Amino acid sequence: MKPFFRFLILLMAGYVLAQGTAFAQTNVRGRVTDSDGQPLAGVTVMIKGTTVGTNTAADGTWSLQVPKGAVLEFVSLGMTPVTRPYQGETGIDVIMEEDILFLEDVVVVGYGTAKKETLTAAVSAIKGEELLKSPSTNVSQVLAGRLSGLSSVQESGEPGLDQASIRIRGSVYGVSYVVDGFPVSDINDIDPADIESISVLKDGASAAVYGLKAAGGVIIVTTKKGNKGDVHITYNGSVGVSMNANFPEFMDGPQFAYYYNVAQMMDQLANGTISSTQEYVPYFSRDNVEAMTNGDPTDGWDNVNYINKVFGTGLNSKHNITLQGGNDRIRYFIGSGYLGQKGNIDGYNYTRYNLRANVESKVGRDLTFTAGLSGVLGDRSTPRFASGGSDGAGSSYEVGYFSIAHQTVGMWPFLPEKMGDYYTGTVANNQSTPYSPLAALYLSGNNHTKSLTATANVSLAWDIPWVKGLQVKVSGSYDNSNSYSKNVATPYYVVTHDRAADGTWSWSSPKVDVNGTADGNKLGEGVTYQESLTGQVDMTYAGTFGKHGIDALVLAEVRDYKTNNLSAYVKNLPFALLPELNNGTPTSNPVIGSSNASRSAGYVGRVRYNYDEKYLAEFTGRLDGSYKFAGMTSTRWGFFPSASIGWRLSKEDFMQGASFLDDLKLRASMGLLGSDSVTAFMFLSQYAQGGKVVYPGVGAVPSYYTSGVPNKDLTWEKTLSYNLGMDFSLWNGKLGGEIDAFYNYTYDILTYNGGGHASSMGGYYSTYINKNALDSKGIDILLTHKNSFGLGGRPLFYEVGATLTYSKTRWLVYQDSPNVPEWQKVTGTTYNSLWGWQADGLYRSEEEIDNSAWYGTRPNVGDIRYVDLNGDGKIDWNDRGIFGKSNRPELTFGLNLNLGWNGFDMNLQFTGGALFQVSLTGTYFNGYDDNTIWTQTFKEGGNSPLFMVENAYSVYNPDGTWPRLTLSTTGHGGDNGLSSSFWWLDGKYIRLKTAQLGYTLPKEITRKFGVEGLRFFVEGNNLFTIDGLPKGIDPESPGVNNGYYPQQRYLMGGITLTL
Amino acid sequence: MKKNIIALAAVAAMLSGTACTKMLDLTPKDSISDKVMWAQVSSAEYAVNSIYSYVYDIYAAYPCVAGMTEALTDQFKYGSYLYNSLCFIPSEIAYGGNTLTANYVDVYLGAWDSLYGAVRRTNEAIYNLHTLGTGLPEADRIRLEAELRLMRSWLYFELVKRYRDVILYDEDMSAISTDKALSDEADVWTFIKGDLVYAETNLPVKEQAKGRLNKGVAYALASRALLYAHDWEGVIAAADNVKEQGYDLEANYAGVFKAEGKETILSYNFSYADNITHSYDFYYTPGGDYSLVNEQGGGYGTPTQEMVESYELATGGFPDWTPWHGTTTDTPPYAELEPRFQATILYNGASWKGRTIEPWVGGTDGWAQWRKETQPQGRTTTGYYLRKGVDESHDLSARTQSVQPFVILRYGEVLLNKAEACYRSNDAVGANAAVKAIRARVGLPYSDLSGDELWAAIRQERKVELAFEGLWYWDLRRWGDASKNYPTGLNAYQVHGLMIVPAAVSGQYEYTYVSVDDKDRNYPARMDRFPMPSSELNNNAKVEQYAEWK
Repeated sequence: MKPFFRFLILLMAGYVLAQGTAFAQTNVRGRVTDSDGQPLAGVTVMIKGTTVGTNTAADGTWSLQVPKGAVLEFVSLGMTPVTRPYQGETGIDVIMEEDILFLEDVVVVGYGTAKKETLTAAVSAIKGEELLKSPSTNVSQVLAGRLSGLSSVQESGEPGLDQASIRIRGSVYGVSYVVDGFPVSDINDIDPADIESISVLKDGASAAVYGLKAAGGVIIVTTKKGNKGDVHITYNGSVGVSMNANFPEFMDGPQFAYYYNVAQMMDQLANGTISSTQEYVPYFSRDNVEAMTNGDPTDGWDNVNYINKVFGTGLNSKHNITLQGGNDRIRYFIGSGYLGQKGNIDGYNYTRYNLRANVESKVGRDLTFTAGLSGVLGDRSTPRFASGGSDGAGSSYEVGYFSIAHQTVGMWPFLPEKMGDYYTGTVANNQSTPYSPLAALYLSGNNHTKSLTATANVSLAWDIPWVKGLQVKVSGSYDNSNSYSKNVATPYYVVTHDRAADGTWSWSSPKVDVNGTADGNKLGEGVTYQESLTGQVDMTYAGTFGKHGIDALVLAEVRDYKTNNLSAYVKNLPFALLPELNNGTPTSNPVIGSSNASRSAGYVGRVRYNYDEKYLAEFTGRLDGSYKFAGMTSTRWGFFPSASIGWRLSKEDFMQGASFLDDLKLRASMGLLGSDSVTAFMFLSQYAQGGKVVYPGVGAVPSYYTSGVPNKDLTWEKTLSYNLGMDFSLWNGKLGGEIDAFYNYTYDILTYNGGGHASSMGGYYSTYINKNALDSKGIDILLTHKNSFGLGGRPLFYEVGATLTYSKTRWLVYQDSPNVPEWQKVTGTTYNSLWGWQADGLYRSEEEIDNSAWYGTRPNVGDIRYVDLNGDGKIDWNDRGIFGKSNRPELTFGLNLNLGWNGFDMNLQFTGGALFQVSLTGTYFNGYDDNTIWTQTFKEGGNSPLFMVENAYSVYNPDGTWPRLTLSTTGHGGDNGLSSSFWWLDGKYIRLKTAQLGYTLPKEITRKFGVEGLRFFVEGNNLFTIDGLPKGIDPESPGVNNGYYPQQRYLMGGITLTL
Repeated sequence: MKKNIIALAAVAAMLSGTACTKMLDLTPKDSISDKVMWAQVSSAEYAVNSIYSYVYDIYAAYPCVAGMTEALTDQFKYGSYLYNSLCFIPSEIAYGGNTLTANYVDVYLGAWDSLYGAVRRTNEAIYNLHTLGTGLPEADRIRLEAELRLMRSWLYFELVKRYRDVILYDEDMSAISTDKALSDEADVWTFIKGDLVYAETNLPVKEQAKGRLNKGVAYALASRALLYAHDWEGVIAAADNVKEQGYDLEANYAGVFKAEGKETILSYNFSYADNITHSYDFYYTPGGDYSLVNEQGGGYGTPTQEMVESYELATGGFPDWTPWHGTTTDTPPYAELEPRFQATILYNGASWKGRTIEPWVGGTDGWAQWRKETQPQGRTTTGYYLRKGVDESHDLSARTQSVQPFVILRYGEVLLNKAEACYRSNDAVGANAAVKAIRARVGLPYSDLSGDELWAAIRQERKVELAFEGLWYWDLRRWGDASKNYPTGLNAYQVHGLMIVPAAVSGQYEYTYVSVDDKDRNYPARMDRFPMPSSELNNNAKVEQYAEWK
């Protein structure tokens, strides 16, 4: 909080300068220097109790009219403030000392804290207030670009599901999260206003204390504990709107008719149905198009932008109140928050309530008791369909194929919204039921999930009185998460506009939707119950012996986790408005339930040593055991050690001449991390329940099948992590930096043992083995610059932070099949690279086709030409290979700009990524790819983005750069959409991720109303993006087939009120 | 410092010990240990039940993922031009030619991977029965082994039928390795026969089998499988053994597919209560059944005019179809065709679910022109719908899924298997008797034949008696006929349908003979053996692709 207060003081000082004065004055001059005699620029000089002041120039000088007897105040960021009474002298020179507290930042690390100065591992940290500088709805979103070593991709904008996926240093593992010392599954539901700080443990030396959970790095969140001093109550509230940040324009009615006709003509020319464009009988007639544009929907034709109908404007509000205070005996913090999101698609809503209370109390001379309670109540509702989706129906009757996004983009723009009482629908190829996004939104029923997570942490620490510095602590955490969902699906009907072979169009009788009529109104209810218990006992010692400093920790930790879920389904509810299980009849699979449990144990040890805070060393180790692996063997328990050293050059005598240097430290570390993210019990030979079988005359009986071939030697995956780093601070913190280079070697990667085995083995080999290996290397850079200078007679404070993270992860060992072509071997390739054919532009003439190899049947001019890699004269799966990049940027960067001037403050956060590709082809989870709305014109007969058809090759646009217009039902046209380098676009981008502009009223005014502080602000995110992608394609968009909830742009305004 | 160390040591002692490792011993919540599984007869049967489920796969999943194999012959046509299974792809396979690459054939017709997966689990079950099931009563142990070995012989039969020379694995699980050579077809047959004999000997008779696999199934399967091995004696013996088990022809041909009776040797069953259902009706019911309840479904595939013309008149002999090979308003002689036609194919005017089938343009069921209308959506492209196997009592407004059993093995087929074996072993008397019995059931006349005429009669009976039971494509293949020109084989022909339009006179229709193909069909001789999949070739150093696929 300190820098923040200091910042406020500066702002206030700025305001004060604006006021005039009327006393007799003398012109006083002076110079401000630091303790080394270097001039300090931008120091605010003001007359105490007035609003008069100035700033020092670059050479540290200042001048001001000062009345005799006044007191001058000198304030500068990072320096201890100085006050000096004016007694009539003509010159006042001031020496300002570095603010030791400011530099001696304490960072939270695993199982404790460390002084930033003497830290030897790679840890990025951010203060909680940074998180409040954006309209983010959850913590994961705001970390992007603000911390080095971290890459973030936010693929969805759906309320309640819009968290970003975070990776540390290109790791293939997910991040482990720790809140106030205890592991949690995620941090999204924490109210950003409750957060004191966030630390990212990036290297082996910092993360090894988390052993088997640490391979993907660790993010530690520390919540506010309250400060000694007056009670403060702060209210922070904002409201605003949200909309799609990016979305392509689709064809309107007449455009659809035109391009559809051209596409059909092209197809007919290609398959020989017609031999010239003259013979073509248009699918959509001129009359049809006129009917679309005559403004009369009752004639069965209209011109509707369904994209805008579905994706509108969302409403959002956030409120929170925090209270904190304390004295020598007790400190406390209470925070409560509300988040309400009404999504920009109707029916997608999310509400969250947070409550947190932290208390720390000295209960005896040597005893400290802490308790933290938190509760999060979430309430998410959606229509019966997912916004975007994966394939396969989920438990809640959702079918990804019928996601709202998919139905919306597929919808024919020439259909009126309604015909009579019914919404209209688009007959999609391959689907027996029509698309109708509006009916799906408003008539399909709804899904509703409520969740409650309650967490309690307690600890009791005893400072052993007879050994100074020795403390024993017992602590525990209990976390209970419940969620309850209720999903109602109601049948509904839509009408479709169908064209007969003779060209006449007619409206169908109402057709049933995917919900089906046979089962009537359906209801599914489910509950999940999770609890986890963590217990820790630790002992710490800290002491100094002359110039030797020692600090040690031993700790034991046990974690126990249980989960249960139960769901029930009924159908044929007489009234959808009475959705109770009692009112329906059970479905064929009425009840589903299962449970799970896991347990782990670990012992942690750590010793830190420093000599005169100049030479630093740290050793840690964790002995970790997991239930997932065979007991009583060496595979259950693993030891994860780390070592790191540091050298503070700036403390050396020979560096004392470099007075511009505040601090300079070199660091080196190595450590071993583990990951047990594999299916448990693979060492056992087990039978799992299969589907029942029915014997004639007997009925259904259970069946059980062998669930896997056991492997008793299975063990966890390991990452050996190396880090070299440098921290520096120059010119009193005006320039600061942390630069790290790392190399992580991950081995014993649990590999699905499918490849490399003959299929005649029938899968009889242990399903997982520890075989694969990969490595990541890269650099993280954080550079900060802060300063202030006078502008218009008022001080302008600014701070610039730039982060750059580069990491490249590649496979060193991969279970490749020995006989596949070189270009299909994964070994040596970058992790998660896109795979497909190499495209060589489009065919421009029949001769080119004659002289080429092709896939399947003969292509047409305007189809994609693929490279025949093995030269066998045909294009097939053997010509596919790993030629693309990953869809996660290898290079991410952020630029954070803070400005403060005359009561105004501004924060801009730019983020960007490079060295990655956005795939317009959809790739299923199993690696099969498929055409998407971005790669196939008129996919499933539905609408297509305008950029695609406008740029498509056609007889009228022979120079078109996109594959030819086609209705793509069989044969070619379909093949264009398969994965190939044609669709892998360079995704590099920069976007204004967040921006906030605020104005704080002068305290002189607000205090009259008993208000300590009052600030107004406006904020936004995803405000603009610069990239080279087709208009409307978001660089963070996932490669999926069924659409997704587009990333959102938020525009909010609010106030912060402190009492 | 001393006290420090003491305190440290105390804590360390407190935390260490073996208790922690014990604490980490959890057991899975979703599976059960193999030892428990094979400790009792009831649970051992659970493990065998999962092997029994391969009967379904052998019948419905392995033959062709693109659709019924009849669609690869002159019998059946999928009407949608969309590039999907149960749509255009079966026709694409039938057009053959260069499309039939090794990879393509493996994707749509290959079953190597799945069959070996099933073989492995069957062998694993036999291995576990031997090693972990030692505590089971001997009679049960032998019975369960017989069930498993019958399934294994069936799986290997399905392999040898497609690939001839295949890799042999028995229950010695340690023999499984990535590099393994092929065995000669003859050795595979020896292995199959060994399992069949064990099953025939040790399985109970049907009455005592409680719905599980029995002797009759083993004999019936042998009569089918040994045809492929040209073991005529074996086929005849197996067929006679089936008869000895008490199986016989039902009096009513249509009834065989509606209820389990003396002709049914093995059916695969379903249950609404347990949500074990299939979609046969959804795919093949006349489209009108669905449009009447405002839904879409049915009519994915329909019988061809060629299949219709394969049926004799009820009095014997074939009608003259020439008038219907052009355009005419004469009514085709549907009503005069033999009972098996009536039981198998729905035509214009046929009675169905209390209504009349309307496969004409604009009718309740409707007609769609192949290729011109990409998606028939329940309408027929041939003028017919399938009746055999479709459940007439299925109320589509109540539910989509179906539970009528699949008839897998029946006595009618066994008789025809015997007829073929007798003919091949120059026993015309035996062959004539079997053919006669089959025809007599449907009231068709028959006088004893010999030589090529006898063979033609047997072939004709297999085509119509066993129509749409998943056998015809494989019959043509094993006879070596498939690559010959039509009508003997599947080369150089197109299939047809009748486009029916209501005529000016009420109640009359105009019938027009139309092709429902884009081009001539083609069956390359190499299709008589399917190619090995790349997943085998790439990983097994001891095999090479079969010569015809190199």
